[in-house]
Amino acid sequence: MHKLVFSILLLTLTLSGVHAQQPFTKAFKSTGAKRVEVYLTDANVVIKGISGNEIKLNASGMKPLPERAKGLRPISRTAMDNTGLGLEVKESNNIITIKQTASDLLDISLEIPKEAKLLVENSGRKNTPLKIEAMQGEMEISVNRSPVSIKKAVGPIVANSTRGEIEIQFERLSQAGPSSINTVSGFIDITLPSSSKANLELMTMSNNNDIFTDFDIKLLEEEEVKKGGKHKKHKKDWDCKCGEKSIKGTINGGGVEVYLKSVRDNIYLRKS
Amino acid sequence: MISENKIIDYLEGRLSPEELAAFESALKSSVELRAQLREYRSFFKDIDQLPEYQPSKKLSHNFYEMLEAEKANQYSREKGPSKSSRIIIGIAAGFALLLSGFWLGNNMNNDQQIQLSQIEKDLQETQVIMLQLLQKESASQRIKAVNYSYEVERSDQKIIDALIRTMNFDPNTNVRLHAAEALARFGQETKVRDAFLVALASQDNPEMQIKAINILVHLNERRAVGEMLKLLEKEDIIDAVKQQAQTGLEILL
Repeated sequence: MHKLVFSILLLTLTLSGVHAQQPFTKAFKSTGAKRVEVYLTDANVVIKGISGNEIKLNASGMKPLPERAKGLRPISRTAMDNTGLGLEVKESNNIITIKQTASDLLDISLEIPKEAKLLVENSGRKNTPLKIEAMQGEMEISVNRSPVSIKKAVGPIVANSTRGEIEIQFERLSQAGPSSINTVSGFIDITLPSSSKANLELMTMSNNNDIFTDFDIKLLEEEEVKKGGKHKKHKKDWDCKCGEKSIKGTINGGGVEVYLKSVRDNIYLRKS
Repeated sequence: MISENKIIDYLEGRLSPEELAAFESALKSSVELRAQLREYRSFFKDIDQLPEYQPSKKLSHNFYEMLEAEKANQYSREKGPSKSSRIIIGIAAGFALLLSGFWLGNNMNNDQQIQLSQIEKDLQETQVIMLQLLQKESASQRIKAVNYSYEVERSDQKIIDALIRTMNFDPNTNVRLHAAEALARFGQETKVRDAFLVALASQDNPEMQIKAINILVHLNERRAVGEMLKLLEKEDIIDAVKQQAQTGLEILL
């Protein structure tokens, strides 16, 4: 009897050992400019910025292959699983591309060199969360219904969600290029360091929604008189409201463009 | 083949009725001629706006020398001052073009002139920067490119075309939205209105659909009604878009 219990225990341990497998890793060819592109169809994702020159990938949730598929591997139209995790990982010209091949809901955790540029697309129609932390490069995010949460960001960030909310905490605001956050329904909640320099354009379209902030925003009209810059002047001269409520202004004297636009939800802009 | 003199005569209104008819029919059939005419027209306009300019001694000397020679030549070949004077005016106009070319090419210390060529230079620079940035992999940089279009005050075809391409085909939704907003500024042009109609009919992204509706309604573009009615009936269109279409239709109709 004891023997039986022991062997069951051993079996369980071995099985769980299979699950807690080593992460799948892929190195960048060079230490130069890196980029990671992630294309998903149905996945909960956690991405973390790390030091180093390789990505580490863990994923679970792929259902075992049917008995009849033994010795075969599943293929999808655009990608082929080469990790055994329901994902394809490829490297080319210092760009690592990760594509979901399994149609199952996956739980993915991914560690990426923090300075890499990151693109994540989740075309799935479920509200599977996307969490990103400590990535210090540029990010491009495009999701349908996933709530997006990004922490310790630097930007620029270009993010778009149809129905999920987008919450971003900037550690500092990169002046390298404009950031643009758009949703249809799904609030936008952005935290910037209080000293951030930015030209803001905040917009909601619905009368039921509002924009909230604790920043001291200088509305464009005031600022205009002082600067009279050609570029800004013209942008102000031409302002197609087109049925949209937008607020344009600067914080801390102006800087990089930050666009926050939601068709029908609130916008929150906070200081940290 | 229409000669350059004919174009000048046309611009100066000196063609006989038959010549005029022939010229205008040639104009209809030849893209090249139309382009040529546009060029001449803009040169003539520029020349009209030129301040008095004294060409360098050598240049003016050569010019007058050649003019005299040509005059003598023409007089010896045919009689009738009116015809030859027309030719001379034609040649003079040709030279004026040449001179204006020199004049634009050289950096001369005339304020007005600097201003004019500066506008041209700015425009070209903006075009170059914008087109280069639009090729970038980074969506943020492509938004920056779209923002450059605001620096150009008049409608420039290269910039409008770039914005239309971006609005319709950029892989990033936010970049397409920014391009649409920047294009709305040129909404008086048929080409731009047509582009918004195409966008409304072809874009699947709900934000782009809403943006196209808003702009077309703002431009009071009645041709959008059909497409908006279609959106209301489609099943895979989200409520936010349908409501925007509904509101838009109430304004347009």
